[in-house]
Amino acid sequence: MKSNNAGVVELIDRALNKGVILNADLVVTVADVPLLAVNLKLALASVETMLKYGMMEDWLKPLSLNEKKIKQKGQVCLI
Amino acid sequence: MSDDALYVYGVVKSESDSEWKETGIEGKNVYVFNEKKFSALVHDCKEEPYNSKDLEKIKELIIIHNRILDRGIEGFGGVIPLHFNTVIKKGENSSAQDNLKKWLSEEQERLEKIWNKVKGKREYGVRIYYKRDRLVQEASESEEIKEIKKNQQGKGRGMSYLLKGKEKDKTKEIVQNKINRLKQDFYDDAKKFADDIKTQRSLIGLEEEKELLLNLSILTHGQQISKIKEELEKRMGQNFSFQMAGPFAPYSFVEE
Repeated sequence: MKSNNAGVVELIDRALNKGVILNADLVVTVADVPLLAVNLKLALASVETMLKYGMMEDWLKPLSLNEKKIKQKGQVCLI
Repeated sequence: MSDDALYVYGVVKSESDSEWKETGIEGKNVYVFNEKKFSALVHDCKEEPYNSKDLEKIKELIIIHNRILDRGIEGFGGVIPLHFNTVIKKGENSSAQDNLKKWLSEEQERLEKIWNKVKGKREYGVRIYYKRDRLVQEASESEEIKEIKKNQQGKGRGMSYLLKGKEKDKTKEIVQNKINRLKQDFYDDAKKFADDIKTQRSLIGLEEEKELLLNLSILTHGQQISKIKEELEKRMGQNFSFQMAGPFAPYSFVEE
């Protein structure tokens, strides 16, 4: 479950901090919006939402096949 | 308030208003808005950003934003992601549609450069962690440390104290050298199979962050990510671990 949370954090990190940004005069600003509240708490929240929307299924399939092997090697599982 | 603004998820290369449709944030109808060679994936919305005090709700919005971008990759062979919560507003004498059209028109050259870099590709996150305790243990068993320890035997308290300090400093140096060397090796391994790679400084921390060796964003296509995973697995040993996340839209690779 911890590793799934890591996947959510990675996504949030990118969606909030990366991607093309348009000129401020064209868009509704979010400066006063408490999006900064999106913090580590999110990482601790459930990942069921992500699965509910069918995200990353492609990645989960090969993972489940290799899960035992990965655990044996002592690695943290992928998302 | 009426839906006279446009929420923009991303941009795809499509020279016409295609029939492509998806269900986006809050069940809105996401459609293609074309201008010349490029089209934006948009839905009509109120002139206000999406927000909620419920963190779960915000997380859902971000997940849907990414899902639409993913559908864009499937439908158009690639996507240029926009920052979450990009809402184009109307101007004094222009509609939101006019403003988006103008932006797409003016940015054609820039979009073309970004498109050529990201088309057909997805982004993955790779975080590599080290286990300090194990590295310290390994260093303490090195010949250099054994030699220092040997010299401590039979020495007076003062000298023994000095040699203890030396042992500590040397251990730290050995651990740091190993970390630096492997940091470069891991980076080089990943780079061999990536179309592009960036070292990231995450703004949202994870529990293990203090022992984070590398935080990478990798741009790649097809099954190349499996090769990167295999390379990293080979190198990991017992002193390191890694997490991979994705696929994501190529958020970190939208510079020209």
